[in-house]
Amino acid sequence: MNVLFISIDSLRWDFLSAYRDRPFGYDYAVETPNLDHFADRGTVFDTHYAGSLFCMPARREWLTGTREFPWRGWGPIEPFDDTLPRIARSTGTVAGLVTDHYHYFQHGASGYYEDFSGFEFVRGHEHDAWRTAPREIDASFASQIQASDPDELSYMHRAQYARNVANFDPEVESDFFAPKVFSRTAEWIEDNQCWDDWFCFVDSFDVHEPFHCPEPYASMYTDADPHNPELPVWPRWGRLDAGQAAIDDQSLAFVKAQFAGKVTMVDEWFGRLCDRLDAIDAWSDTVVIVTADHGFSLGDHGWLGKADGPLYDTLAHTPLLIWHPAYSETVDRVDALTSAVDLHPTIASLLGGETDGPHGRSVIPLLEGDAVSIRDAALYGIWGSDINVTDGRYTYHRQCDETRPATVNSTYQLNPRAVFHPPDPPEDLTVSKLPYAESPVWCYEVPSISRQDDTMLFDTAVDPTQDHDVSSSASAERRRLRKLLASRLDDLSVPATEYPRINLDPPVASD
Amino acid sequence: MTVRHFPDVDDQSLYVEYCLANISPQQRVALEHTDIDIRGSTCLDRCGRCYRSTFLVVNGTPIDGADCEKFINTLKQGDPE
Repeated sequence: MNVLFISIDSLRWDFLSAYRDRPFGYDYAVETPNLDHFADRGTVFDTHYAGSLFCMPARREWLTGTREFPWRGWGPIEPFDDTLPRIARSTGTVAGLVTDHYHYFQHGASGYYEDFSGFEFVRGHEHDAWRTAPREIDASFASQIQASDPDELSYMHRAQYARNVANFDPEVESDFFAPKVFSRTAEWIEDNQCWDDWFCFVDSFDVHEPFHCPEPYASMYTDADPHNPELPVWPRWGRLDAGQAAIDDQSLAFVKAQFAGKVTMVDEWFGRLCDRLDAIDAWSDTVVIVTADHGFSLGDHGWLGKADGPLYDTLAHTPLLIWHPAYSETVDRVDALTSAVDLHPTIASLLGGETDGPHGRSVIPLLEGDAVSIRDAALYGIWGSDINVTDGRYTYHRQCDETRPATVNSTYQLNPRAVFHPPDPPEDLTVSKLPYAESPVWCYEVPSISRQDDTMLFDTAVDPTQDHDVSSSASAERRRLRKLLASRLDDLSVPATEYPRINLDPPVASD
Repeated sequence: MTVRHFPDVDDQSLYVEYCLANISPQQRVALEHTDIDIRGSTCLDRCGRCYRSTFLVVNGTPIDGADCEKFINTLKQGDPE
C-alpha cells in the first residue's frame, strides 16, 4: 500500500464545504471544489483535533506519535522517537518529503527530514533565509508585508520574504509556493512508481501567511486593489483593537479575502495533483490523508493570528479527510473523536510497521467498522500554557497559574521560547525520566504563560463558535470535564508539576 | 497617563505588549504590576529585535535598547511621567 500524507498548514476546517457552507466570520463561501470532491470520494472525520500546537509540535505528534506539550515545546526529534520515515524504511517502503516548510531547516528543529529516503525543499516561504539580494526591496510590497526596516540583518525579518519573491510574477501562479509543492509532489509520485511501495509526506506551508497570492486568487474575494500598499497581506499577531495588530475593517476584510484566495489556490493545485493520481490510476493502491496542523484567527474572538487567545476551535479543531481504497466507498463520515497524534499509528500500520506509538491510536478500526470510538477525550495545548480537553462536544480550557513554572524535559538544551535563536543553554539543570522512553532527559523550569482570563467550558453542539462560556451554568459538565482532564493527564503520567500548574488535583488511586 | 517622553507613541492610553522569551522575570513582574493594559505573548513575530535586546511594543510601536529600559524603570517607579 502507498501512503500520501498531506498537511496544508493553517487550513481551517470551517473553510471546507465538507464541514460548513461558509467559514465562521465570512458572509461568502470560499471555493474549494477539489477538496470537496476529495471529501465526497473519501471519508470525512468530523471531530478531529490538534494535539500539541503549533507548527513543529504538530509535526512531532504526526511523525512520532508523541503527545508533546506536557513535557516540552517546539524542538527537535528526540533520539528515542520512532519516526514514520524510519518505520517506512524498516518495511521496505521508500519515503519522500516534499515541503516548503522552512522551519525544518532552522534553529529549534532538527531530525524531521533526515529519516526520509529523499526530500524536496521548495525555498523561500515566509522567513526562509534564502535570497540575500536585491538589497533594495519594493516599497509598496514592503508596506503590504509590514517590513519596516529593509536593511534588517537579524533573525527572521520580514524583508527576507520580499527578497525571496522578488522574481515572482504576480500573474504567474506557478511561481508561488503551493503550486510548486503540489507540482513537485506529482513529479515525485510519478518518478517513484518504480518502487513497490512508497510513502510521501507533503508538508505545504500554504495557507500560512504571508497571504500573498497571485491572480486570479488575489482578486477573487475582494474588489480592492491587491497591490494597494495600505492593505496588508501579512498582519501582525494580537488584538484587533489595540497594539501591533490593530486593524481597520477594510484592512481586515482584505486580509480575510487574501486568506480565502490562498485556500482556493491550494485547492486548485491539490486538484491538479489528484488529476495526476487519476492519470496513473493510483487510487486503488494508495491511501491519501489530508489534514492541517492548526487554524488561524481572522478576527475571531477579537484576535489575529495564532500566538494569542484561548485555543478556540478556529485554532484547534482541524480537518481530516482520508481516502482508503478498501473502506472509503462505504464509510462517508466518521463522527468519532480523533486527534493529531492518532495519525502516527494510523500511517505506521498502513506502512506495515508497529501500531502502538507512545500516545496515538490508529483510526483504521473506525474505517473498518470494528470500532465506533477510539478515545473518549483528546488533550490539546501549547507547552507551558493552559491545558485543554474535549470529549468531542464540550471543550474545557483549564487556565494555568502563571506563578507556577512549567518544566522542559528533553535530551536537548533547547530554547523553549525563542526557538529560532541560537541555543541559549539553561543554567539550572536536573535529570528526569520520561514515562514513555528509557533515555534520561534534561529538566529545567521556565515561566508559564496563560492565553486566557479564566477557565472556560463550551458546548460546541449548540455554540460552535464558542461565544458562551457555560462553566457556571453547566456545573455537572464542568465537573465531568475537569475529572476527564485529570484522568487523561494521569493516563499519560505527565510531570507532577503539571497538576499544580493548572490548579488541578491529580486523580486519587481507587485502590 | 501620558507617554510624552516616547515621541513615537502618540496615544494617550497605554497598551504594552511583551514577548515572554525576551524579558526577565523581574521585568515581567514590573510590567504586570501596573494598571496599564499589558499583553504577554509567547511570540510577537519580531525575532530579530528579540535576539538583539529587550523590547516592548507600546501602542503598536516597538521600542528597544535604552528607550525600553527607561520605560520599564519608569513603570517600576510607579510614575510614568
